[in-house]
Amino acid sequence: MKLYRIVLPLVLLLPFIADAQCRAFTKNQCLPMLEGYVQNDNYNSAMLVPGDEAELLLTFYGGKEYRMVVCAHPILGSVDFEITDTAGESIFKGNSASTGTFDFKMSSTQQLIVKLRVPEQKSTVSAHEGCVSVMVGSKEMK
Amino acid sequence: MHSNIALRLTLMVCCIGMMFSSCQTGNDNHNAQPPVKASVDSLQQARIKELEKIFFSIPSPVEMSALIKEKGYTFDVAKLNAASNVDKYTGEAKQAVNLGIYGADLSYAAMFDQKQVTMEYFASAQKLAKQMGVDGALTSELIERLDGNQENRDSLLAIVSEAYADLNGYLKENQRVEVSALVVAGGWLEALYLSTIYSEDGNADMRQRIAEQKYALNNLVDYFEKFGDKETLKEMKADLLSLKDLYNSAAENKGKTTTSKDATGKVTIGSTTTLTIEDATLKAIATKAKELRTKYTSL
Repeated sequence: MKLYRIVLPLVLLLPFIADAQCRAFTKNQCLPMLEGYVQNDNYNSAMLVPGDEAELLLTFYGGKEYRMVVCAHPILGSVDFEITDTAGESIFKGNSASTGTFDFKMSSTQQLIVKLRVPEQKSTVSAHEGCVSVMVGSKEMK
Repeated sequence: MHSNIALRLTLMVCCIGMMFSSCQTGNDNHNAQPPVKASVDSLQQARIKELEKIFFSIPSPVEMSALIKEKGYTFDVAKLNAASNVDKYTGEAKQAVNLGIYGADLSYAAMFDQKQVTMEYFASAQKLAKQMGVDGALTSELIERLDGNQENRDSLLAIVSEAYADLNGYLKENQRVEVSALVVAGGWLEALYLSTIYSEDGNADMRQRIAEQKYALNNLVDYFEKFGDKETLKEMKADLLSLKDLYNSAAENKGKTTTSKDATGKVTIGSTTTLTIEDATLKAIATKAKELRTKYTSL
């Protein structure tokens, strides 16, 4: 009974602790990767688990330079991402471990989709969750 | 409220259920498997829905302010929602929308190097956030940083954008995603309102940027749809839909995406898609934007 009293509040608190860690991770580890660009003020960070997939539709304005950052906690391994147009045409493929940033210019305004995929873990002992952030920064085109 | 907890508790219950079901003896009926799979599938669906509420983005009001500045327009504090109105907003929904409106006004002031106005609006935004109990992101430390960077526009902008992104994150991590949606909608509405004022002289780039808000608006409406009939979002959802009706007249001629690389290897993405807007539509959008903005900022 005593154990129950200790464990239950901890379990209830876990999502908050985990998400607070995600916000701190985003600020400390991911935000510096946008240096030189003004951050878009949307927050796109979440605790993901192996096998998770997520999609984000973004609008980019013509005449601007952008940096997109896909930043993931190393516990998840290398998170794959792909940028496509709304028709599904692939524009860029990368992963958080080696090519977590994508710099590009927009000559005209359009919407693009970023698709994320957290790799399945080989070990079946435990599935760790970790923070994944998608950040966008912009600046005027030179 | 606490949908994240509910989701995780459901996941736990399901996991415990799965543990028990996997411990069944060989005499058990193997038909027990499909319901467990169905539970996992429905949990996965629930998880995807939760993630869809987090992964959402529309262009920042900063980008609209940047165009206003780039086109050579001058700063006019009278165009903004008075910072002194802050004490008069009551009710979480109205406060959240005005927190977004102040955010857009802040970006506009920062873009024009208006140090005093930026500080003033930041203080108002912080006060409003405090009244709503969400001041964990707009901290006094940020005001100190603003104070120390007043002469540097880029830093000022970076601090303001970072503060609002952090506020957005703070709201999402504290299971106040609906409030976050209203803040974003308020910021977008204010940026639209400001751009319609500046477009009155017929500037082609401003007009085009207003037309392009069709994309952000569609995205915003889709986002609000994910929350179903949440009471706090109903009014804003209806207002966004009324704007969307007007935007339906902005004709999009779908083309193809083009990509090329410059000498440094940087990718340029373009499109042959065109978006055109008639004068009457633009005027109707400007009138509606003003009407909605007046409604939300009125006391």
